Amino acid sequence: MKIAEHVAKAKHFEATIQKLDLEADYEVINWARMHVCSNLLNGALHARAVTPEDWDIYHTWYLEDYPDQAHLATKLDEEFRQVLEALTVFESLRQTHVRGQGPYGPEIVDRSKNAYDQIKDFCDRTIATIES
Amino acid sequence: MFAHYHVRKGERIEATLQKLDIVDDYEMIIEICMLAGTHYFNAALHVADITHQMQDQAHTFRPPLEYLKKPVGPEIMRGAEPLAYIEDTRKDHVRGAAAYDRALVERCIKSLAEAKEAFLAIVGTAGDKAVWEPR
Repeated sequence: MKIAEHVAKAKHFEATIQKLDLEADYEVINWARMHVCSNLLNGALHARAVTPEDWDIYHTWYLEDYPDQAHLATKLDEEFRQVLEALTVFESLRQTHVRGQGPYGPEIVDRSKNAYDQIKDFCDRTIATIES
Repeated sequence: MFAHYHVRKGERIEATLQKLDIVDDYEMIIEICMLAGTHYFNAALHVADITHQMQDQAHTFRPPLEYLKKPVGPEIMRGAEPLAYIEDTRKDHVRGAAAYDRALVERCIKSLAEAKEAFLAIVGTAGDKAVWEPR
């Protein structure tokens, strides 16, 4: 998908999150944050020419199927690897707290919010470099 | 996960639908239909003794139904088919950039209702709230 389409999709999910309650709707908030982050990460991956616009990831493990692993090794710097690692927070929380019955608590909100902020900050900066 | 926990989780997730707008929030409406429907699906599979309570389906196709220890009968398929419709819309309308389609979103909501009705008929009283269960 094109970078602009990923950004628009992320904004759409963000607007939905604004309507929700952190405690009553935490499962849906976590799921929506995962979509925001995967869209922004795709935008950043395309912006840095790590992956082309016709090759999107929905989860981190999709990168393991990327046909040119040598290209990935060259293009993914340490900071990019850290933000991809942050996406695994949502991939884990969805198993334990959306599909599973993991007990809700403030630490879940914090983990989700910290990962969200980290990914958003990096991706917004990265995507802005090609928009300016 | 116990069947009644799946029912409770499905109901919690489904309750969020009431806060969303069919136009502005359609992607999450589709996702909620899939997530809640999958919880009811797992509850039905556990009660029908097709899957153990420690083995949950992520989707109707993951893992493939033919991998399960017992064949999935028509009662389960009556709910799995509308759930599969919801799953099929995700590629283009949640993850992709397909144009908004109100009829499709309405059909997802209707499909969740159909799936839920079919699955909870199988679950029966096994979905009732236990004397003690986590919030």
